[in-house]
Parts: sequence; structure tokens; C-alpha cells
Amino acid sequence: MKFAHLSDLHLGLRLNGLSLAQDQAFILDEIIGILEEEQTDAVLIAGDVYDSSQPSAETVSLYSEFLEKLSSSGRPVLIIPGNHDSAARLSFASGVLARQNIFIAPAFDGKLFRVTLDDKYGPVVFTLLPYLTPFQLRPYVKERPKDWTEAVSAALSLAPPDPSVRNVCLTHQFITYRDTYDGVHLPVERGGLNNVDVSAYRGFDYVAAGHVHRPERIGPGETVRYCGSPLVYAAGNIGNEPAVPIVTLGAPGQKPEITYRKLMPLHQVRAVQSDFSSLMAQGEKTGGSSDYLYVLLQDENPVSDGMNRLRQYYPNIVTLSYPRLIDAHTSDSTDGRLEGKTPEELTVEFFARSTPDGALRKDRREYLSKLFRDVAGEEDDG
Amino acid sequence: MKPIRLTFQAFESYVQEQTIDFEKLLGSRSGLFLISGKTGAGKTAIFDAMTFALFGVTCSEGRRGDTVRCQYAPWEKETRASLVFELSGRQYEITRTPRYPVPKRRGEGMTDHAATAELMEDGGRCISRKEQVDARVRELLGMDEKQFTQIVLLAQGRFMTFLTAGTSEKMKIFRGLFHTEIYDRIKRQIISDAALAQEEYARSAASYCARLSAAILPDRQEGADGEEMLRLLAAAKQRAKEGVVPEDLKMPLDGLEDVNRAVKARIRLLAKERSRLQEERDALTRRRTEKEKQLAEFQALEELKTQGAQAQMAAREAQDRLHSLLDGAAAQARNACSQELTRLRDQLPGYEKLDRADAKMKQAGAKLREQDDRRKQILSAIQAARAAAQAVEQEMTSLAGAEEEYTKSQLALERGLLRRQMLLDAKQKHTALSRAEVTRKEALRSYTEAQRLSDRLQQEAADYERAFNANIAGILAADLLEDTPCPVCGSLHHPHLALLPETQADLSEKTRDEKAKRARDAAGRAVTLSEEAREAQVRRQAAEDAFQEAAGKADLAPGTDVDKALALAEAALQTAERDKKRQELRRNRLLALRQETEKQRQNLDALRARLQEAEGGTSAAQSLVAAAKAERGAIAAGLAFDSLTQARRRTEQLDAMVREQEAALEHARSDAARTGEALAAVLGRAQEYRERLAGKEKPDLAPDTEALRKNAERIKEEEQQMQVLISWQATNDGVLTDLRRLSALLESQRQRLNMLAPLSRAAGGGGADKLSLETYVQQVWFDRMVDRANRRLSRLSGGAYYFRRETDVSGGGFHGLDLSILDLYSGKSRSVSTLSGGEQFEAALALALGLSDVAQEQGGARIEALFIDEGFGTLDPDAIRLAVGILNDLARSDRMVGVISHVDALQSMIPYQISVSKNFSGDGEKGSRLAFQGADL
Repeated sequence: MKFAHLSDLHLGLRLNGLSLAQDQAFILDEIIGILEEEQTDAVLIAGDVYDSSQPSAETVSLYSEFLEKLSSSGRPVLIIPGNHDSAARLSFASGVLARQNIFIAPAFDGKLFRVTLDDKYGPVVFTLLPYLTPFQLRPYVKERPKDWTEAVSAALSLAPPDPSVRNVCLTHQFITYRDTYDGVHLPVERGGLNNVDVSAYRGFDYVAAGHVHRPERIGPGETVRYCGSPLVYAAGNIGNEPAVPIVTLGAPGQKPEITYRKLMPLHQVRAVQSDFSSLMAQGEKTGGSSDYLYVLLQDENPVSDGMNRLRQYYPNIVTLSYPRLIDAHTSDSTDGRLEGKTPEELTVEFFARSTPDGALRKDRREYLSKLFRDVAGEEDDG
Repeated sequence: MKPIRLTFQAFESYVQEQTIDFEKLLGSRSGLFLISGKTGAGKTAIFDAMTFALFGVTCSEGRRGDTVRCQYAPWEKETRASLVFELSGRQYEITRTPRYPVPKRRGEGMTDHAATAELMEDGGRCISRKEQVDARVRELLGMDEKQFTQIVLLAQGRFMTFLTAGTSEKMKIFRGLFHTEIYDRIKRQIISDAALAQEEYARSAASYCARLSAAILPDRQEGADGEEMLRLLAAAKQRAKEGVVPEDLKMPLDGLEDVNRAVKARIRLLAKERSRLQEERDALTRRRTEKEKQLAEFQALEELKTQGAQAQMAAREAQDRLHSLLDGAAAQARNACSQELTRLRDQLPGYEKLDRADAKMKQAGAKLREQDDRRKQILSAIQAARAAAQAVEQEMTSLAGAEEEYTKSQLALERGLLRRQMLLDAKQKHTALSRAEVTRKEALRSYTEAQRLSDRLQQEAADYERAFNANIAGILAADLLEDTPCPVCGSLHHPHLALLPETQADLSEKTRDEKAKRARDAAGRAVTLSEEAREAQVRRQAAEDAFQEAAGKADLAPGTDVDKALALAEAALQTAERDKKRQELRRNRLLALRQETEKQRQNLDALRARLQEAEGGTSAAQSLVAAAKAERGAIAAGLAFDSLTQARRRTEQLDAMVREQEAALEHARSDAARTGEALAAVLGRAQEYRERLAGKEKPDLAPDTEALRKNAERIKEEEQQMQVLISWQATNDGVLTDLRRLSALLESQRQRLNMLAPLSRAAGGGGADKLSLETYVQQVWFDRMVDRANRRLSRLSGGAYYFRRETDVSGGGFHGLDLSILDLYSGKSRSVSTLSGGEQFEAALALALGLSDVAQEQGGARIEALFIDEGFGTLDPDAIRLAVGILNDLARSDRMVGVISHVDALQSMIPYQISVSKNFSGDGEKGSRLAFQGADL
């Protein structure tokens, strides 16, 4: 059984107001192309199909086309709603679509949504777990789950995976291993952090996870993976190399084989550090670029009409910032000035400003000391 | 301040008691939650309840304490809001009820439910007076309701308030939050210290100038240096007069010391000169004294000579006087006096007799007067009696005839009475007459009526008979044919047949007989009545006659009204009675007077008798008086004086004169002796002196005196000069002492002022950046806040916008804490108000978060909770996501963030929720309701 693991399409997403429709359409076509080449048996989409719970008409059309193309050959498509999707809307006409081998998990309703596909080794049971919060679980369990790990465990234990067959789980959560993520230890008491420990997904041969945009695996094994978003969708994701994992399940008990098909976007998303004049010069020379750029100008002061002028050559600048400016103000204005200073010290500083060497004369210093002692004394009495 | 549990009931759109346990909702004391619900469901009311519980007023403008009452809550349900919150590690519970009208428990009309407040502090202390609670809350939180709603609560539609608040408003908020008042106090203290130092310096300077002006400087000084110093000093003094203190405080001191030294030197010189002059004076004085002694002796001799001449003259005079007294006229006079004196003494008894006769005469005189008086009295009594008698006579004359009059009046009265009686009688008769007349008329009428009736009945009966007959006739006639005999008359011709009467009434014989009887009865009655009438007539006539008789007797004129006459008679009677009484009085008076006359006559006689007596007595007394006079006259003939007293006086006079004369004589003798002795003495002494001064010359003192005078003058001059110089010195000494003291004081004061003045100026904002101390510190806070805010704003706006503190200090007012937006894309600065709605919300949110951060980090009032009421509707979905992301970060850093929004998208982004619904339709339970989706709810 060979399937493609997709997630976090975020159709309709805008980068700081810039529409990515064109890029998304492009990448979706690429994905279709890859799937054709790979001749996958199924496609898994692990949530966040849309960027918003109420996507625009254009976005819906885009998805519609994509879904059509995905299922044109009749191969099954398995979809779960993510935290950005409206589960209800996403599962529009799911009954009808199911007849076309397009399986969409509804919002959690007390039962686990499962799809079984067969290959030459036998059945593969796909558990489609929609994006789950502990609240959604409450009506269906006796004991209130005290964190998200418990919630997911409880949900999955409604129908635990049968070890005699191969089990795949589609899930859209923030999965962590031993309360660390990215090497950073997460504070355990924070109930607000909705992480699910990877141990909740015991018994699955592969966990196709969605939610995190960087492709990575969680935990010691190889089988709990985020495939990542097909495009770079945030400044923090710059450097990701989007790829589609193609997972091949062998016989039961065999470890799955995973290959990666790289995705080449229409436009890059990059961060650029330079100064204004250089950028402009380069733009003139090279004609600019329509990549999505996070520009950090090194100029110390904002350039008049900077954005518009730069956009002549770089029409897709996402954000423009002046880190030096912020630093300058930071160092000039704050922490150094206040940190740990007593009112007396601040006062001395105030007066010292107007002296040529920045130091206050001794007699003035002593006067202020006494003054503060007196005033403090009054405050104690008063 | 973190809310832990909020409870409220009958509050705005909530009827039932609602409890929001934030801890249970969030599973801890911090976190992010959403309050969702349709517009108008009651979401903002939750924040209103919190604000009201804390401050007693709500955050929505125009909703004051007395309109938070739920309109459809029953009166028994009290409107109440209560908040349990944590602050600086301590837990507090505050409960409030607003003032609102409730119906009176008894009687009609409305009364006010009072506003109450109660605050329970950690440790059990409880405050329940509203003003105290208000004050404590402000103290604890460090802000009032206005500030709270600017910082902690981004209220619907008003989140821009803090963002666009002016600098002074921001300063207030910062002061409250970060307790920067201490800087203000320090500043004020410095300024006041500096002002004080200035004052003191000015005072010292004034004293100094005054003293220096008082220094007395000479015109010139010794030596070139001296001159120079003097010039400087004089210049300094001049400036001091204008109030200017010299820069160099040492110079005047030195100068004055020099001056003083010079003065002292001169004083010493003068003193020496004076000593010398004094010695000279002493010598001169000694010499003169010698001379004086000598001169005195010469003068004594002169004196004695003069005395001698005087003494001689005196002696001679005394002798002359003595002689004159011893002989001639003086002696004669002396004798005469003694003789007269002896004579008088002999005559004294005679005078005594005279005295006695005088007394007797007096007595007689007195008696005479007595008698005369008595006589006069009687005379006047007689006169009076005469007068009285005359009066009585007069009166009697006037009453003459009173008796006859009286008799007359009596008669008149009787007559009157009689007449009246007659008249009464007449009246009676008249009344009887009237009655008889009435009766007669009545009888006549009755008769006439009866007669008429009788006539009529008769007629009727007759008619009936006729008819009856006619009928018969008719009946008969009906059958009667021509040539048939009439049963009545037997005629054969019936030219006029009796026709049946028209009225074929039931005519019967009975009726006819009845009618005839009635007629006969009536006739009989008529006759009776006629007789009665005649009787009545007769009676009437009798009454008339009686009346006429009575009238005659009463003398009533025919035709006169009896009553009138009677009335007149009554009146006349009354008059007659009065008259009679009057006459009676007069007659009685007359009788009385007659008696009186008799009495008077008697009295008069008595008086006359007494008069005679008195006259006799008077003459007797008169003769006595004459006798006494004669006696006295005899005695007085032989005496010189008129009385004893006079004689005695003369005696004494003479006695005195005699003694006087003797004394004078004695005196003269002694005088003569004395003066003789004196003369001898003087002559003797003069001889002595003459012997002593033989051969000597009289000394002349004039030159010595002159020399001494000149000397004295010069001494005085010297002393005057010295005096002047000494006072100069004293003055200048005083000035010098004071100036020394003042110089030291001024020095130290200068130093202090020099130390304080720049501090004061700077503290009050006198520096180039016009920052006062407090503002400087506040700017530091402010910059920090802006920095924190900028981190958020940068994220929210995709790096497009950046807060900047307004650094342009020109223009009116202080704008040190004003904010503007730097648009990084265009590189230009913009005012906050040029941002779009969503951008404004982002900016306000970023700023609120920045402020909250800074307050959080640096203590002051801890703002650990933040509430945002709407505003998300203005953001696009991406912006919403960013905002929620930021709020989540905030929640993770130990703060509570509550968001009110009707935006659906938020419901899927924020797990902990309170959903508010309101039953708008009439059925079911009214009011808003809360449903919870929380960690433990």
C-alpha cells in the first residue's frame, strides 16, 4: 500500500494580505503531478485544508478542482479537518463523496471514523481522527480528561487498533515527545499548551500528523511524522524544504518505507537583509524578483515611501522592517535605564544629564541623598 | 489584579444570580477566555459587573450606578455584584449594591435602595462604608475607574482613549500606576529649598548692604595704597546703597579695618593735645585764685564803708521815731481813749434795762397782730354768708310759682288718664262695631246666596214641570192629530203642537217632585237667612250707637282714627307725666330753699356777735403796745447807744486801741537801742581792714580770666573732634563686626544657592528638553512601554507600524508623552487617527499590552488581567489569528485575558468560553444566561 501524506494546505492563506492563490494552485498541480508519477494507492490529507473556517469562493473552487483531480482516477482520498477548518463545512456532502472514495471525517461524535482499504497483504485500517479538543470529548466519556494527551488517548481507546492488521492514524494535533519540542523542554503545568504526548498514538504503524508546518518526525521512531505544509507559510518556516512523504506499507509488522518528493514552488519565500539603496540598485540591475520577501532593512531610519519604491522591483514584499531602528530605540530607551534603579539613582541620572561630564557634583549628590532620606522618612510616618 | 470569582444578580440584563469562577474556567489563575454571544445578549454586562463591583460605576458611558438594575427582576431580588480578586498575593472580596428606586415596603410610592459597598481584606478586616471602600480600592489598585477602563479594559468603541490621550492624561495614569509622585515631591522640595536659599541670601545681602552703607569713610587716606583702598571702599559702599553686594567680600573688611586704624591714630593724637591743654588750664587757675583772694579783701573794705553809712542813718531814724511817740499828739490820743473806755464800762447796766424794755414791746406787738387777724377772719366769713344768702334768694325768685305749676300739672295728668280711658273704651266699641258689621255682611251674603239658590231651584222645578208637562203634551201631541181633541185643552186644532223636548231625558214625576221639594227647602232657608240678616243688621246698629256714644265721651272727632287718637292720647299722657315730675322737683326745691334761708339768717347773726367781740380785743392790745413803747423811749433817752450790743462793741474797740499804742511805743525804744549798737560794730571792723590793707594795691583779674576762657575753648574744640572720631570708630567697629559675620554667612549661602539653583531649574523642567524630573522618569517608563508595545504592533501589522514617542517639544503645552505612528513602509510619521479601524484596534491592543507588560514587570499596581470588549470585528481573519496568538502568549505569561466578541472565528481559536444568551421572546425565563466551557466547568 502506497500512499501520499499531505496536510496543512491552508488554501486561501494570505501573507500579510498578499494572496497566495496562484502559488497554491501551482503547488497543487505539482502535487497532482507527483501523485501521478508515484502511482499512489491513496492520498491522506491530515487537516488544515483551508486556512479559514469560512473560506472564500475562489478558495473553495480551488479545493474543489484539486479534489476532483485527486480522485479522478478513483483512488481513495482520506481527509480529516484540522483546527483551521470548520469540520462541518469541510465534511459537506461527505456521504455523497464517500461513494466516490473520498472519505472525510466529521467532527468528533463519540465514534471513531475508520476507513479500511485493502492491499495484497490484507486490510489497512485508517483511523481518521479529526482535530480534537478535550471539550469535544466530554460528552462522550465518563471521566473528564485532564489534558489533551488523555483526551486523545481516550478517543483512540474507543476503538483501539487491532494489532493483527496494519493501522494508520490521521491526526491533527500538537504532538510532543516527553514534553519537549524542538529540543526545548515545555513546562508541564501549562494546561493551555495543548500538546499531546506521542505515547497516545501507540499501536499505529504510521501516524500521518498535520498541524506543524515543518516536516519532521516526533519521538524515537520514524513513524509519527508531520509532512509539513507544501509551501512556506510564515517567516518562521523559511528554510523548510517542503516535500511530500510517500509511505509504502509492507507486510504487517514491517516498518514502512518512506520517500520524499520535493516540491518546487512558483515563488520562493525568503528573508532578505540589506539596505535600501543596495536593494534598489540590485533591483534595477536584475529587474527585481517576485519572490515573497521578508525584508529587513539595515538602514537606521525608515526610508521615505520605502515600501512603494521597493515594490517597484519586488512586488511581493511581505513585510518590511528596520531591525536597527528598533534596536536603537531599545538600547536608547529602556531596560538599561530602569533596571533595578532606585528612585534616587534615577533622580541623580536626571540631573546628571545636564552636566557636561554626566556626573553630579558631590555636594549636590549629598543633598539629594539627604532629601530622599527625609522624604522616605515622611512616607514611613505618613 | 486578577479576578478569581465574579458573582452578580439582577444586574443589567441578568435576573438570576450568575457566578463566573475564573479559576475553574481556566483551570488556573491565568489564561485566555472568550465571552461570546449575539449582539445585545449581555456580554458587556459581565465587565460592567466587574467594574461596578470594584468602583461602583460601570465602564459603559452613560450607565451610572442607578441604571444597572435589571428591569425585569422582581423587587425582592436585590441588584448586587461581588468580585473576589487577588492582588499582590492577597485575596480580597468586594460586594456592592447600587442605588435604585424600589417600592416602599409600607404605603405607596417609591423609595431608594441605598448604594452599599463592602470590602473584605485578606486577614478578615472588613470595610463597609462606601467612601472608605472607594478610597481603599483606589489605593489598592492605584487607579480610579477612568484609568481602569483605559488600561485594564479596552472597552467597546473606546479602546482608542489611552492611545489618543494627551500627555497630561497619560502622566496622571503613569503616576497612579507607577507611583511617580515621589519625583514630583522631590522636585517640589528642591524648588522650595532653592527658593528658600534665594530668600535667605537676599535677606543676608540686604543686611550686608545696609551695614556697609552705614560705614563712615574719611575723605582721604594716608599713602597711595591707602588712597586706592579708600577709593575701592567708597565705590563698594555706593553700590551697597543701590543694593549690590560686592563680589569680593574680603576687600571691604580690609578697607574698613584700615580706615578704623587711621581713625584710632587720630583719636590718640587729639587725646594728647587735650592733656596738654588741661595742664595749662590748671596752672592758670591757680594763679587766678590767688589774685581773687586779694581782691576779695579790698572788696570787703568797700563793703564795710557802705554798711557804716547805712547803720548811721538807721540809728538816727530810730531815735526820731521814739521821740515823736513820747510826746505831743500821740500821748493825748492815748489818754482820750482810756477815758472813754472807763466811761462806757460804767454805763453798761443801763443798756441792760433798755434791752428788757425792747423785749416787752415786741411781745405786745405780737398780741395785737393776733387779735387783728381774728377779726379779719370773721369779717370775711360774714361776707361769705351774705353772698350765700343772696344766691339762695335769687334761686327762690326763679322758682316762684313752682307750686301752682305743680298743681296744674297734676290736673293735666288726671285729665289725660281719663281721656285715655275713654279712648280705650271707644276703641273697644269700635272693634265690636267692626265685628257686628262683619257678621251682618256675612248674614246678608248668606241670605243673598240662599235666595239665589232658592230662585234657581224654583226655576228649575218650574222648568222641569213644564218640560214634564210638555212631554206629556208632546207625547200626547205626538199622537195628536188634527181634529183630535187635545187631552189637555180639548181643542181640535193644534197649530202649535208641543214638541217633544230635545232632550228626551228620563223625565219622571218623582224627579219633578224632588225638585219642587228642593226648591221649597231652599226658599225656606232663604227666609231664615233673611231674618238672620235682619237681626245682624239690628245688632250692628246697636254697636254703632254704642261706639258713637263712647266716641263722644272720648271727645273723638268724627272720622278720626281711634287708634291714632289713642296713640296721641298715650303720648300726651306720657308728656303730662314728665311734666308733672318736673314740676314736683321744682316745688320741692323751693321748699328746701326756704328752709335754707332761715338757717342762713341765723348763722349771720352769730357771726356778727363774734365780730364785735374781736374788735374789742384788738383795741385792748393796741393800748398795751403804746404803753410799752413809751417805757422804752424813756430809758433810751439817757444813753448814747441804741443797744447793749453796740455799747459792748465800742468797748472792745477802745480796749484794742489802747494796747496797740503801748506796743508801738515799746517797739520804738528797742529799735533805737539796736541800731546804735550796730553802728558801733561796723565802725570797729572797718578800722581793722583799713589797718590791714594799708599800702596795698587792688589786683586786676581780667587778663587771667581771658586766658582761661581761651584755654577752655580750645579744650572744647579738641574734645568735639575726638567725639566725632570716636563715634565714627564705634560705628565702623559695629559695621565691621556685622560685615564679618554677614560675609561668612553670604559665602556659605552663595555656595548653597549655587548648589541648588541648577537643580531647581532642571527639576522644574528648565532644561533644553523641558523635562521635569517626574516627566523624565515617566518618559523612561513610557519608552519602555512603547518598546513592549512595538513588539506586538510589529507582529500585528506585519512590521508596518511602529510607535514613536513625540519628540517635538515646540508648540504650546507639553507633549512629552504623545505618541505617533511611524509607517515603516512609507517612512513617514502619521497620527494615530489616520489608521484604519482595524489598525487602530491593533495599535490600541499593542499599547495596552505594552502598558500591562511594564506595569507587570516593575511592580507599581499590578495589572495582571486584561479585557478586550469587541474590536475583533474590525480585523481580517489573519489579523485575528495574529491577535489571538499574541493574547495567548500573554495568557501564558501569568496573565488573564478576557475577550468579548461576537466573531464566530474566535470560538474555534479560544478553547475556554463563556457563552451568553438572552431570551428575547416573551415566553420562558427572562434575561441573560451564561453557559460555560472551561477546564473545570
